[in-house]
Amino acid sequence: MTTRKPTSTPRGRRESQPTEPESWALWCEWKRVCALGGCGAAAQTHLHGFAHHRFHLLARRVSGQLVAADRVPASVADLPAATAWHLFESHLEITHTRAGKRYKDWLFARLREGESRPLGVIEAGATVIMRDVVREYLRQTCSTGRFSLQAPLADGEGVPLTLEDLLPGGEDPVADVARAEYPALAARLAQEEFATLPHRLRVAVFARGLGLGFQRADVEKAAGCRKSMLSAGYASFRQVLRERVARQFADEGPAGIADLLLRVLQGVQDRACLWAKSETTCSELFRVVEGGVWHEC
Amino acid sequence: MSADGSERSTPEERAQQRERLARWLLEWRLDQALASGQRVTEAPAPTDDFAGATDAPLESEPAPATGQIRLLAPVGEATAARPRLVAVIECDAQGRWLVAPFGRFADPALSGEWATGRDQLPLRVLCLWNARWVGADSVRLGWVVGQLTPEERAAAQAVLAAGGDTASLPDALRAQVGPPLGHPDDPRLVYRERERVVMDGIVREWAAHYWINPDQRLAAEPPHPPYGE
Repeated sequence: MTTRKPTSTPRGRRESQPTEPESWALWCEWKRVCALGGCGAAAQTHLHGFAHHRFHLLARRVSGQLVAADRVPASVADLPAATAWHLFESHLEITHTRAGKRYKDWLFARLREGESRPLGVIEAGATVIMRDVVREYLRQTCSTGRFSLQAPLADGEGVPLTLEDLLPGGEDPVADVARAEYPALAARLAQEEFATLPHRLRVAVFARGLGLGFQRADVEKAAGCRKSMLSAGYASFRQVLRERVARQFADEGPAGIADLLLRVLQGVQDRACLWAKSETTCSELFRVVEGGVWHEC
Repeated sequence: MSADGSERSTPEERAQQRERLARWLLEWRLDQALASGQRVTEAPAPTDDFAGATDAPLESEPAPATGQIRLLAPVGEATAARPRLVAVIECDAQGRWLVAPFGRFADPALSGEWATGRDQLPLRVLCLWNARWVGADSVRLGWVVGQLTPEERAAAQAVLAAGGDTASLPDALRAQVGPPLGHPDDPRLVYRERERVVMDGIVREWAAHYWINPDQRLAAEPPHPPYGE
């Protein structure tokens, strides 16, 4: 005889929650049937509830982290469970056929033989999909209004950038002929710069290229030093590089210098990534990126 | 050309690029906010017992063909972490296949990303800059879920051939690719690096899959007839 655990739903009603084996059976029913609408009432209730819970959990996480300009609309809080499920079910649908719904096969193919907790694997995969669903929903509904060229972009460390910084307008004063030489110039300088970098700075460049913070334990471990030393070293590396490019290519003007600096930095990052592939100390950082999980250590 | 190879653009093009970049940056911020914080999911650890617990076995899928859109089967950590789709762009004389991943976002981030114009959410942006040459065996590790039209395939090949030099593209196509990179602290650099590492991982998983499961590898050629026949 199965034991049901009474629990509160988001609307406060106390209803029985399926056990894990029952929940697993309901997911399997959905897998067999083309869409949830064709499943029994128990499956519909359970999966609607799953989608509702995950959607709001993720949406709340986002709203706490966005700047005021990216307002999350109040309507998000009122999104019905059935709508949350519909968004989930249709997000990866290519066509209304079984072939077009192969994401269901992807979800269940993540199970390995002998998996002891298949429900956990399925719900984890569904949550990954729901993250994209929430992102898409908020992208469509976030009220950003007209963008400003000079408004700081809330992107974390350092001097805030503006849209105009990222995509400057106006005439480009650098001659096309001179610019044709930039790739070769930048590549040579990047090679020279990378060769001088000690291990910890190579790790710093690699990690920063992936957007991994220096406070992460796995980054500190790979570098063999603490965040403070990495931050100081990386800042110094960037400053020295900026000064070197500005000095060496002073005749290219501000736009040319900026262009070259970007190319050189990209070149150094490319070399750092290539180097990191053969470094056992960096293998975990690759796994973080490939696994798509960004929890802060 | 700027750092990513694109030519100077007209004021109208620049305005469109900025709008597109503003939209992309919003979606990036949302994505980072969703991905940060506590671990909410764990990708299954890669093992050598990928059973493909599905009623759509990969062996039943069509052979690789140009234009196919495939959903990658979860054979390892990178392919199991999230659903990923690729387009099969072309085949070369050595029998290798060029595959390019579809992006996760609504707008193209870079000049090597092309907005397809499709309504299906997973197929809105094709990331040609991250295309890879792989063997037929690797392409087989995914379910066929759609097909590029001949026009789409031609557009994809044009963007690939341009290599970031958007000035060489027709006006209509140039308006469908992402904005150029121009600043060393542009968040798109992080995005690009991450996506490149992910695709590297996927290609590595494909190769490892057959090393672990050699019986699943396709025969390279049909068996030769016995000598003398």
